Amino acid sequence: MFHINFISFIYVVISYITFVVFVCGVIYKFLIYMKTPQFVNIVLTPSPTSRKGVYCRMLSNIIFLRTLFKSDKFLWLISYLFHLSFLAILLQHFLRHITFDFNSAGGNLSYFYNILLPIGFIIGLVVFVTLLFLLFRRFFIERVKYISLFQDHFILILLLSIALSGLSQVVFQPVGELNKIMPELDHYFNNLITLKTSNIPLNPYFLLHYTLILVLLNYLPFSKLIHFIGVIFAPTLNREDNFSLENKLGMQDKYPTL
Amino acid sequence: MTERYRIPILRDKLKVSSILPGIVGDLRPFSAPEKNMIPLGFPKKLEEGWQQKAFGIFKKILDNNKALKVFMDICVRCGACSDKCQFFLGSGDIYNTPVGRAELLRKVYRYYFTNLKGEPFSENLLKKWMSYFYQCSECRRCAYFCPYGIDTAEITMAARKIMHEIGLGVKYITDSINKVLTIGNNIGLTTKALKSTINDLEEELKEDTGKDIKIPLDEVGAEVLLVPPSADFFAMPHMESLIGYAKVFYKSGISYTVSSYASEGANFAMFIGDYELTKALNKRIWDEAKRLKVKRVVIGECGHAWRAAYCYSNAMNGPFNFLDNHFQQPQHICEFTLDIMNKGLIKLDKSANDDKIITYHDSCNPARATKMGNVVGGQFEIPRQLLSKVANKIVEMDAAANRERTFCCGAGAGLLADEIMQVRINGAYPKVNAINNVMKSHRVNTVAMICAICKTQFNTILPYYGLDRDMVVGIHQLISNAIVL
Ligand code: SF4
Ligand code: SF4
Ligand code: SF4
Repeated sequence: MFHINFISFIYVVISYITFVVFVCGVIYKFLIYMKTPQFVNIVLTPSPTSRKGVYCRMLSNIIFLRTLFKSDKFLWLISYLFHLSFLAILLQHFLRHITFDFNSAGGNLSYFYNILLPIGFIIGLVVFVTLLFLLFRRFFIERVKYISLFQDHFILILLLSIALSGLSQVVFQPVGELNKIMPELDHYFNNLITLKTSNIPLNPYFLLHYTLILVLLNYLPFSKLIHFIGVIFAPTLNREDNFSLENKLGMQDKYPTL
Repeated sequence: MTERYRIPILRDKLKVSSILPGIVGDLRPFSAPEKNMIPLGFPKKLEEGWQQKAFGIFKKILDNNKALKVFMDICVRCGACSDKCQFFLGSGDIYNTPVGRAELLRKVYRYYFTNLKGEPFSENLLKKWMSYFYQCSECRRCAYFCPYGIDTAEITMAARKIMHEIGLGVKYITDSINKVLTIGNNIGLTTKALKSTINDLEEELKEDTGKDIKIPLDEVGAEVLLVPPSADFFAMPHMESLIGYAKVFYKSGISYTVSSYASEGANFAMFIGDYELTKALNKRIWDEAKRLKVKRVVIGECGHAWRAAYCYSNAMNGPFNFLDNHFQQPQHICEFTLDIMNKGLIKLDKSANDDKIITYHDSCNPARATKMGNVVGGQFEIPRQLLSKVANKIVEMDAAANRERTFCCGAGAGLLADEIMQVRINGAYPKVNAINNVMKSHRVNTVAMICAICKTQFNTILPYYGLDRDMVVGIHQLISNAIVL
C-alpha cells in the first residue's frame, strides 16, 4: 500500500468502507423488510387476485411510476425524467469506463467512445435540471414547502452537487485536461475492483465529484432513498386478494398478541 | 346551530381555502374514563414512565407489522398525497395531509430507531397525536395515490394503539368495544331490547304489507347468519334497510337468523389497531356461526364490517371452513341479494322509486379494501347493478370523488362522536361538495350507500351544509320499496 500517496491511500480506504456500508446496509434493510411479518391482508384496490397480477402491478408501478401518474401529472413528468436520466447516466459511466479500457489498449479511442462523452453531458444536464425543479417545488408549492424536512433538501442538494461537479469536469476545464486524467482514473478503478491500489487522479473537480458520491452511498441505506427497496415490500401493493391463500398460510396460529 | 361551526363553502371545483398549520389542532375527542379502559386491559390513565412503555409498544408493532416498518422508512415526502385527504381539504391544516399526519409518528420513529433527526415522546406531542390521529378516518385514499402505497391508515392505527396502551383512550371507541364485549353490540341493545325492537318491526311489516315477514333471532339451524351493523336495529334510515333484508330473505325462501351474541358487524377495535381486541370481536361472529350451525354468513350494510369480515377473519380466527363448501368466506348482503334477483325469485317494480333521482356513494372501506362477490371490482358493480334493477333515475357522481377515488363521509374509524362535529364537518366537505354538484346539475334528491356510519354521518352533517338529511338512504331501503311481495 505504500507505493501510493497519502490522499490516494485515504480514498482507497474510504472507498472500501463505503462499499461495505452500502452493500451491507441495503441487504440489511432488505432482510428486515422481508422478515417482518404481515398478518392481515391490507391489499389495496385495484387488487390483483393472482401472483402474476401482483407482479404486473408492481412492475408497472416501478417502471412507469403509474401511481404517481394518477396522482400528480407534473410531478410524474419531472420525477420520471429524473429517474430515467439518473439510470442512463449510471449506464453511461459504466460504458465509458469499459470502452476506454477496451480501446486504449490499441492506442486510439473509438468513435463510440467519443460520442459517449457528449451524450453523458446532455443526460447530466437533464439530471441537473430535473433536480432543480424538484428542489424548487419544495420552496414554491406551499403544501410541499410545509412538509419538507431538512433531509429532503439535503439529499437534493447533495445530488445537485454531484451532478454539478460531474458536469464541471467538462465545462470548466479544457478537454485536454480531462483526457489527461482518464488513463489514471480508469487505472484507479480497475485496481480498486481487483483489490490492488493505485494513485487517484488529483483533479479537484473529479475529487469533489467522487467524494460526494461516497457521501451519498454511505447515507443512502439509512435515509428515505431506501424507497427503491421498500416499495417491493409495501403490503398494500405486493399481496394478492385471495382468501384461500390466507387459509393456507395459517396466519391465525402465529398471530401475535400485541 | 350552524354558527358554532366553521362550514366550508360548497363550490363547483374543490378548493383549499388557505393553508395554515395547526389551525384545527385543538379539536379532540373525549378521552376514555377509567371504567372504559380497565376492562380492555389498558392502563386507566397516563402514568409515570409512559415514554418507556410507549417505546416498547412501538417497537413491538414495528416488529410485527411489515406495513408500518416499511412505511416508516420509505416516504420521500413527494407531496403526491398531500391534497388527497378530505380532512385536509376541509380544514387546510397541513398536519391533516397524510404525510403531515404520518410525520407526527415518523419523527418519533426517527428519534428512537434511526440516526436521523427526530423527536422523542412528550406530552406536547401526545396532544397533537390526540388531535390529528383522530382526524383521520383510515379511509386509505392517500394510499391509493401514494407511489409506494403508503397507507396512512396503518400509521394512524399504530399511533392510536400506542396511545391506548399508555392510558390515553377515546371514550366513544372504548365505549363501543366494551359494549360489544359485554352485551353484543356497539349501542348496548340487550337481547330483550333486541327482541322487542324486532317484534315492533315485524308488526309494522305486517301492517304495511299484510304478510308475515319474520326477522328470526338466535335460531339454531338456519341456513344464513345475518350480521348487520347494530345501527340497523334502531337508527334511521338504517332500519329501512333491515326491512329490506327481511323482505329479500322472505322472497328468497332461504331461512336466516340474526344473533343477539353477534348482533354487531362493526369492529371498532380495528380502528385503534388492537390486534387482540379486533380478533376477539371478530371471533364472536365466527363462534356464533358455529353455534347456530349455519351454512353461510352474510354481512349487512356496513363499510368496515365488510372489511373486517372479508380481509381480517381468515388471518385472525382461521377460515370459516365449517360453512357450506360454496360459501367459505362471509358474503356481502348486496352480493346475496343480487344473486337472488338474478335467479328471478323477486319481482321488482322500478317505478316505486320514480320520485327519486339517485346517486350512489362508494364507501371507502369496501371501495379500497375489499372485493365483493369474489369478482374484481364487484364492490363497485354489484351495488350499481342492484340500483339499476330497482330504480330508473340514477346519476353518477364525479369519478374523481367516487369509486376507487371516493372521498370518505368524514366520520369513519371512530370519528362519529358528537364532540368532534367540526372534524366531521371538515371531513365531509369534499363528498358533500360532489353530492351538491350532482344535485345542481341533475336535480339529484337521493344518495344511496351501503355503510351504517356513512348514513348516520350524512344524516347529521347535510343540514350544516344546508342540504336535506332525508336524502340519505340505504340500498336495501330502495330495494324494499321496489319489491313486489
Ligand atoms: S405520496 Fe407517499 S411518499 Fe409521497 S409524501 Fe405522501 S406518503 Fe410520502
Ligand atoms: S383520512 Fe384517509 S386520506 Fe386522510 S390520512 Fe387518513 S387514511 Fe389518508
Ligand atoms: S363510514 Fe363509510 S365512508 Fe366513512 S370510513 Fe366508513 S366506510 Fe368509509
